[in-house]
Amino acid sequence: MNINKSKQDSYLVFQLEGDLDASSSILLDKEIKLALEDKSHDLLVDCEKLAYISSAGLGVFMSYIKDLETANMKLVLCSLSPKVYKVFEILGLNNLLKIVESKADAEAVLK
Amino acid sequence: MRLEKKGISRIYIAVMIVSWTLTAYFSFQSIHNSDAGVSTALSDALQNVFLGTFIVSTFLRFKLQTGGAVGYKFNELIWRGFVLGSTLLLSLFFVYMTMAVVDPDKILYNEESPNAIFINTYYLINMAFIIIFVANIFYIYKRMVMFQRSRNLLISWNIFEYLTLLSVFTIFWDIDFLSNTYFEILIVVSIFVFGLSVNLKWVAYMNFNQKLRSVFLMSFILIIGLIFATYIYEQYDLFKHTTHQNVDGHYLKINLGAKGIVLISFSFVLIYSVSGVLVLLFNLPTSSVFEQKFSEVLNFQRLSQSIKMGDKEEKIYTLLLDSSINTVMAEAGWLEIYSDQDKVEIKEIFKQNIGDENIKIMRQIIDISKHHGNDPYLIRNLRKLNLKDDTILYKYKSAIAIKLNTHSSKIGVIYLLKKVKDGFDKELVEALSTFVDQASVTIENNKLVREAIENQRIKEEMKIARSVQQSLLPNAEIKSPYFDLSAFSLPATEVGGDYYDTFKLSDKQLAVVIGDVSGHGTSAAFHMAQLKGVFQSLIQLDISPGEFMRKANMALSRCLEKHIFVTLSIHFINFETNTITYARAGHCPAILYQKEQDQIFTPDSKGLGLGILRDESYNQYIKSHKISFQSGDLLVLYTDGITEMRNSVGVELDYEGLESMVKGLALLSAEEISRKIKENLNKYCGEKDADDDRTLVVIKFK
Repeated sequence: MNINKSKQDSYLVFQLEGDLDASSSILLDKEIKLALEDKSHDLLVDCEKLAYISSAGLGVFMSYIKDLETANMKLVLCSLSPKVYKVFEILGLNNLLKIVESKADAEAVLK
Repeated sequence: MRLEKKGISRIYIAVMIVSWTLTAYFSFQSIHNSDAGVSTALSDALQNVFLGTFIVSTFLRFKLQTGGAVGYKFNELIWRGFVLGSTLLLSLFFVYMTMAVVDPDKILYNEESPNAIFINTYYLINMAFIIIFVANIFYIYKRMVMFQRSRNLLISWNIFEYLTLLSVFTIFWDIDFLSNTYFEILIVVSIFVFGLSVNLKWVAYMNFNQKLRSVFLMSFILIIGLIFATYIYEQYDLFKHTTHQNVDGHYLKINLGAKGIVLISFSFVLIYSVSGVLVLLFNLPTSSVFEQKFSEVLNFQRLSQSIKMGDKEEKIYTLLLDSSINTVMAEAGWLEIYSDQDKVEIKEIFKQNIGDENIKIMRQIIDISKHHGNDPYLIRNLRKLNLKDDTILYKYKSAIAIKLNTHSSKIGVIYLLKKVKDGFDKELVEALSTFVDQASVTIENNKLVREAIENQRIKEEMKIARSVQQSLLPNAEIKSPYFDLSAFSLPATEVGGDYYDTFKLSDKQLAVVIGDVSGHGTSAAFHMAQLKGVFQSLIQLDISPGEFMRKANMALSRCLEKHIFVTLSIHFINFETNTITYARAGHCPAILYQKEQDQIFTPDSKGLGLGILRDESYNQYIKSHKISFQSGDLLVLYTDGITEMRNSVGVELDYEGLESMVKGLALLSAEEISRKIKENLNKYCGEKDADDDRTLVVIKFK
């Protein structure tokens, strides 16, 4: 899986491409940890090209919920495919994480 | 066999004694006859017959004694020969002293007019000892000649030995071997003797000390032999020109020096002694090379055996370093072993005669990274490397570094240093290279064997783990008046993270739980066991499903690692009211098949998985729900390993796939449904290995 990083004003954009499985979740974990240490930015995770998410991937997101709150950093996920969204929904993470439809919606939230 | 040998030996000794006595008897008889003017022909003849018997029986006795398996104990043989010779010489000296005491004025032992009986007795005693000496040494030397013999050598020796023994028949005549008549025979004998005397292969197998010792011992044997030979000839000459009644007469009845067997055997003994002493002497300087080669071979053997004995790695490395240093006679050296993971970091260093400081310096100077390829990196002159700091080079002037590589791994590098320039010649480097290659293979094999044993052990442990985990699950089939339950749980590997369980809340109430620890494998399996503990404890409390989840969340939150969460779904089934009260904490939604409507109903509920919010803030995200069921309905619980299963083209089974399977089989018994679904799942994913744990629980309400 590739993570394409870009910077936009006050937030970082992670564009996820491919399958978020056990090995690529380690990569995502590292990136989020780096972003946290940097503190100043919010995070936008663009899941348009995310085909599949495993429990390891979910584990990464869930483990940073509290940390992001403490650091006063917003995390927004956008453009999830129906299949990927359903995974978040069944687990109940859709109530804990900010998930929006489109990238535009996400940008609006982060302004 | 030995007893037989001893018996025959005793017979020979008896014959020796008897024939010697008779030789003496007929000798005196001859003297008497001669004095009396009677013909001595018969007594002479008989004297010679018994003399011949004595000589041959002595030879045969020692042939018997020194025969047997050819071993390597030449030291012992030579020592025995030396002891015998010395003993005999001393004995004869003793006899001589006795004679000097008995006849101080040399009346009896008089060259001009000796007492015949006296001098002949004296001669006979000496003769016996001399014959014993030469016979014994003859056969001792035979064994040495025959060491590592070829077939031709065996034949040659046998011819020589039988000729020697058969020459006893010339005993009736006196042979002047220097005369022309016997010149051809002399040549033949010389050819045999010299030809046999070059068989000295045993010399190579002695170490320096043994060779040195043997030089002295064989020299003494030679000297003793020469003393005896001189005696024989002198004695005869001594009494030769004494006039007597017969012009051709002689005081001494026996002239050993003129007997073929004595001549031949003595010449062999003397020539072989000379040959042995010379070859031993000339081999002393090169002794160290042989010992070197021997120890090299031994080290090779030890090294290759070390894998069978399962020697510790450290022992092999130490052995390798020691042997390498010895092989090339280096002054110092060290062995670097890489760590398993990256093959660049040094895990261990074994060193000899050099300290850590100097190792660092020399390593930089030699710089093996500059040398590509696996052949030895030889630096003939370290000075030529143009270094800034020369101080270390006052010590070491040449060096060699060899990589311990097999075709599949880099084990390390061995460095050897010498205090002389160009100290590593081609032969040494080749020998070392072979040795290091062999060691590398051995080390690698050793590692593979250990790994294989460890893997086997781990496999066994996993098998045990699997059966233990299986025992944590309830019976696969439960039958009751109110329902039938059939379930299966298949971990992706030996153990997994799926869990299901049942608990009889009361006569008419059943609790069924199904759960899934995120991930799979050993780590998930441990949490699964915790999950069971949590369920079995909490279910005893009289609480609602929602409350159960809240408490379960608190309990598990303390046990789970950072990225791990658990999905769980619990159902309290009441057969009196025909209702199911349930809570779904992040787990896949249950499937309820309603028989009357012939439709699948998915009980909806919101609920967050466990271990995501690890405090009371979780409590608002879970709640209990209630639905009803009827007779003939099915409740199917499962884990996402089933719905996420992919077929050969990568299409997931998904919820719809499972639902339609359930609908299609709904009229069968619980057992048949679960069995058929299992079959269908196998068909769906084909031969592929499972990548997640799969669990299914089917409950058919009666």
